Amino acid sequence: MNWLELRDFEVRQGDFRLRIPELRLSAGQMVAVLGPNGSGKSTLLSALAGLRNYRGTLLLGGEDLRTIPEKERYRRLSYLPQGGHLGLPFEVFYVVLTGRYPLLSGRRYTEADHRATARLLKLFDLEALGGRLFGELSGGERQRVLLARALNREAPVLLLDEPFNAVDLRHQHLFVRLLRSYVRRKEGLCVTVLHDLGLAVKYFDRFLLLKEGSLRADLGRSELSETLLGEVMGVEVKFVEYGGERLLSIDLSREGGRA
Amino acid sequence: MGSSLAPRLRPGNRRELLALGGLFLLLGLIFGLAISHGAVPLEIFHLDETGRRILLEVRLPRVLLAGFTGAALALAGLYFQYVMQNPLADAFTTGASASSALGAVLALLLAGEKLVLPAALGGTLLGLLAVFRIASLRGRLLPVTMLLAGIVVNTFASAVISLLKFLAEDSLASIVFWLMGGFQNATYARVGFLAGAVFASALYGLLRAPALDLTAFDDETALSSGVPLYRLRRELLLAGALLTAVSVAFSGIIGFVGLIVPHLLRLAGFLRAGVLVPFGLLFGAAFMMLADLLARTLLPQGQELPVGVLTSTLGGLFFLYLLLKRKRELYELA
Amino acid sequence: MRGICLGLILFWFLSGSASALRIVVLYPAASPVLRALGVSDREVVGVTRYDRTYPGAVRVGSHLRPNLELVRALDPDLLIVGSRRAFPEALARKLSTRVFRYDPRTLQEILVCIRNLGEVLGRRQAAEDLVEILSTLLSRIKPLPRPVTVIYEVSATPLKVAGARSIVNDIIRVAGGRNLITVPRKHILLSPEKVLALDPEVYIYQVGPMNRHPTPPKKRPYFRSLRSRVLRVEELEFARPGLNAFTAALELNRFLLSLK
Repeated sequence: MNWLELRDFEVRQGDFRLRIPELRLSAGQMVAVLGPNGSGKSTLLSALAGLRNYRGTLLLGGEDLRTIPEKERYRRLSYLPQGGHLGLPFEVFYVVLTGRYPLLSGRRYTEADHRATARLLKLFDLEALGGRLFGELSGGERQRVLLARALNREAPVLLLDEPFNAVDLRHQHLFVRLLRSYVRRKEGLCVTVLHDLGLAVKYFDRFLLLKEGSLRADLGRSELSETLLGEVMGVEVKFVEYGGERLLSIDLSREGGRA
Repeated sequence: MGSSLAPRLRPGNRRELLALGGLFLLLGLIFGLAISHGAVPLEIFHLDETGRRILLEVRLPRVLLAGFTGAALALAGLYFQYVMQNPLADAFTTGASASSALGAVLALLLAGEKLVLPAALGGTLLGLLAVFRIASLRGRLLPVTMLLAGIVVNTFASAVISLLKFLAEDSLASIVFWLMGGFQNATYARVGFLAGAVFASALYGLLRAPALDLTAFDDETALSSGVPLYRLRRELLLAGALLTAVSVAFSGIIGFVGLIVPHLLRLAGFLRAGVLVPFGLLFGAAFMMLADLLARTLLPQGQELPVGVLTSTLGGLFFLYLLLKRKRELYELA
Repeated sequence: MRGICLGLILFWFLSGSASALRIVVLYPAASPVLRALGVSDREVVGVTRYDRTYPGAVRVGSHLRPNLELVRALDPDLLIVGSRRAFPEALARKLSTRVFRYDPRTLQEILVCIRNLGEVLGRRQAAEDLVEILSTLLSRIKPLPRPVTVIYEVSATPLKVAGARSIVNDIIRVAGGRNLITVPRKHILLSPEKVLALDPEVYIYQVGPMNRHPTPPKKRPYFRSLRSRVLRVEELEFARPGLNAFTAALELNRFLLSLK
């Protein structure tokens, strides 16, 4: 089953144009969106979340995104934008709880919502921070809270824009494993914008390479090549096998080095 | 906060219930004081004919109007804070109070007291329309631009009021009244009208409490949580405008309540809309009844103080204290 | 300071004082007095904007904010000003002109003021004649068996009433009434409750610049149980400390007599 399906998809923003002729993202996949700054990664993600005007076709779970009512749409997908902020004071527990807003049937969060939130806080090592104000936290802690909030919705499709910004190394690996098991368990889909190639190569199944608004490559794990990766990212990439694992060696490419 | 406990057992819920009881008690206490004290000493339980009429025709409607005005201003302040995503927003920063005062003053000078309410409403809506036009970008409301536009509208309306004050030197007293506020012109009809506006807007907020909280997030997070953000902001703005216009038309500009009531509640740890809306209503009412009681009784021989001056002075002093002594908490709130 | 009207003479200019004077009146209530003293249109060169007594004179702004440039350009020999609040001493000192302060708080003080003005203007006889006429008016006031209690409303929104320092206080007294408000100020912001509790026999409300479109008292919700007789007066004819005050006292006296 395809969770997301794009055909003749185009998003314009001022002079910038993002075009994707065809793309299908199916259940159970961890998809990394890679590319340099300004390549359209965030634009792609927010468009997939239904927050931008687009031309062409965008299907969510086989249905036209435009025809799915908002609440239903956001039960199916959960979007973590970059640089999320909060203008008013709230406790961490409540911030994570609000992730379940689309699941509300009445006007209050239920006991089950509270239990799920408590479980998630534990999973994200945030239990001790539950009663603190979101504004009091450090940048990395805030990012962890927002990630937990995104997962709390239990939506099958996760759209995460640089979810590990400012998160410490240990928690990055912890969370990315958590995401993997989440996607497996839900038969879901996780589309993540990343800058850490090492993390991407280690944990993700599929790679979308974006440059200047167009999809340069859509590769499986085994198809990933040093040259393609290097060309899109503007660096020299070398794969190094170590202990049965593929590691990356990265250097700045010299201008015109490939020619 | 015990995050692993079920909601009904969470200590937060018990705290909220206790606070609710406390607020009702406070409100009752202040209501009792406000009813039994005033320019004329009344034996509430042994009233003569004059006393009875003073109580029913002058004091009671006035106390009620003060209470509902406090509730209206606190609620308006709270709603404006959701719209602007800033705990320091209130009727002032949207230009709402100044533009409705301008409408009221114009009506007063040109036509008489009867037209004050429609003119105040008209003034507020015009002012907000200006703010809206400036702050809207393709159907979206931009909070920061809006703050700026609010300040511009506010400055403009205040300047026009100053101009009118200058031109109509002899009518200064009645213009100044609208700038300083007071509850002398209380009637049961006004109380009823304001109460209707307060309860309707409070109900509106209560029914959408979780969505209200989500407006505090960045637009993308709020929208991708399924909140109709822009519509919600427009409606909150309209509710706040209505509350501001009605209270300005009836009682003039009364500052600081919309700012200080939600702020104190947040400092006390009540952060969610589901709690802030009812608590703000009760606390705002208690605060304003107390302020008016002081305005009526501080000076001897039935002399009065303008209540807006009192709230701004008390509120200003209290805020200064908070800024000096509790900088940290304030900083972390914002 | 008992509010006695003093001709404050700060600077004397010997030249020109003997012939026609150049007078600027910054207190409108004083103009009718000048007119009654026979001061001609030629002599009054400047008045405030709503002063209708000398239509030919230059308008020099309002009585609270006169335009000092205009005043100085008129090169007056004599300035007639109101209270110290409206025209502070320091301002008077800055203009090197004779300043006459016209700020009476009682009818008697008005008479004193008229005499002093006559002195300053060299119209002593006219002043004596005017005082005579006004005193005759006062003598027509008939005594009442006992003072009638009165409250005088200055403005309705907010409710402000005349205190003991207002000229109205003396008009009421002379007319045979008693102002129930004894606070020693000109205007007092008063609780409506207090009015009901004091229960005056007569409630006077003025209509004019300070009270533009007041709702009649008995139609206001807080005065529904007001038992007083209500009298409506014109602010400009009643509350100004000029010649009008004497007719106002006489008419109020007639009204109070008619009550029984």
